[in-house]
Amino acid sequence: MKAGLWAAAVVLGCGITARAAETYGIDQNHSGVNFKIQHSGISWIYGRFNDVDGEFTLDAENPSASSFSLTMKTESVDTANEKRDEHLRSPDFFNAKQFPVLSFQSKSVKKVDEGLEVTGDLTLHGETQPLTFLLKGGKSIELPKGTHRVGYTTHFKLKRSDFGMDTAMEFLGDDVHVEISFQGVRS
Amino acid sequence: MPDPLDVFKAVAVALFASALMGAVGHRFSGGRPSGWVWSLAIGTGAYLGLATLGIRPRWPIREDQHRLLGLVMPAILLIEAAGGALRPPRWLILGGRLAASLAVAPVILYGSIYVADLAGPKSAEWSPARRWLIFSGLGLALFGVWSCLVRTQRQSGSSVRTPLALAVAIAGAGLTVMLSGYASGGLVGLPLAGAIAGAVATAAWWREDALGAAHGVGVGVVGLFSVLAIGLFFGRLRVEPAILLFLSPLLAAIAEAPLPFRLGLRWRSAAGLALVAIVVGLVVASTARRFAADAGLVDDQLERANTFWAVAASESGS
Repeated sequence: MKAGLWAAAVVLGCGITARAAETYGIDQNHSGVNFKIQHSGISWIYGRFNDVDGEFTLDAENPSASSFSLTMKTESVDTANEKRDEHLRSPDFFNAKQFPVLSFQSKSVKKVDEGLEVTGDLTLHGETQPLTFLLKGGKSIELPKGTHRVGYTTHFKLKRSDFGMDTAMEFLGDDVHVEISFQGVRS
Repeated sequence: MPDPLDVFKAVAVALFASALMGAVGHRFSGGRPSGWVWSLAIGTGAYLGLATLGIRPRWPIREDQHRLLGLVMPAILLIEAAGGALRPPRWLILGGRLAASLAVAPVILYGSIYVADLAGPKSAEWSPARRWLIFSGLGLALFGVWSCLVRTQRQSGSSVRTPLALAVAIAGAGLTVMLSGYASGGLVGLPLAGAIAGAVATAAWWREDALGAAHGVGVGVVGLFSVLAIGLFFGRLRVEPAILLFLSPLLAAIAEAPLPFRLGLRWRSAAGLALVAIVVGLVVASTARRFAADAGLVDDQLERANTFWAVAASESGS
């Protein structure tokens, strides 16, 4: 009887642990990576990446075991001006023929009061640099029924020159303000 | 787009430095210059001119432009210098030229989406068979044009004609690539053209024979091919202007065709260079017009031009 109870406890325990770490795939239809950069110091150019993908794992019991990975196709850069986008894809900026993917891979996740503090490596233009940002949100819903979703939002600033993108510094700012919002669907 | 004044300064630095190094080389070689003088002059001029614009090869080498500046150009400068100093047999010269021609495109395109699986397994745009077909075609085209230009240079009796034709074509290629959505890539061509022009000026001053000046042809034709290749594969340079610009220096050979009247060496060179300049000028003008149309500048420019002529006409009338 006792052994049976122990076995049941172990099975339940395993079940709880398995549920605690859940993997989500990025829902491309409800996720976006937007950015803005100053032009000539007087106004802002806004853009986005239309092809965003990735997945994340959430561990409610142990947030530090959570992980996030995100990829964007540089070819999908979109500033609502096709000629400018073509120039952005050229080696003057993203060099999409050489570096077709822009990616982030987390290395550590820490729970803080406002959300999750995520630290990882951002690879852009062939250069990998450490990046830390605060991920807010984490609300989960079931939409449609049976599909579990969770969403997060973050924003951060990076210097494009840190990634070897230092063309046209005289009229395009060095600081790029990035805002990311994504939904994940539980697999 | 970079400031035209900065570009002008860079070309002037390249031209002057190349001419100066060429003069030093001629002096030290006792008036019998070899490939190393051309390599020293063009290399010094081109890299100083590029440095004026803040362009230099970066390490580690990751991009097309840095492979051009950090691998292709130093290699061809060394090959031409060694070729001139060691005077290898003809079969070795041809073999080396063929190997160098076949190597340029794979080096320029190394690690790009055309040949590498950068966006997942089997994501390379070219299959292995297609890759080797394209690389072989490009390599043979470079070898063919290079060999024709060396032959033209030797037969012309002019130390100026072919290298200067290449300088004109490289300058045109640089401008065309800049106007095709790859400003920093095209920019590389302008100091290189200035450096070749500087080396040509020295060769003309020292009355170098056509045989010696053939060493400038290798650097020039590989530079022209490379600037066009980065524009074509990494920028938005179209195939037609790229082919026209690549073949344009061959027009310098037309001046050697039999004519019904006698034409001196200088006039033949001038005629050959004029042909090259006309074709290159037309390609650049056509690309500039397309660039202006894409940027919505044409109407404004036409309006300004019409206003200018209207004002000029009214002033001359009064």
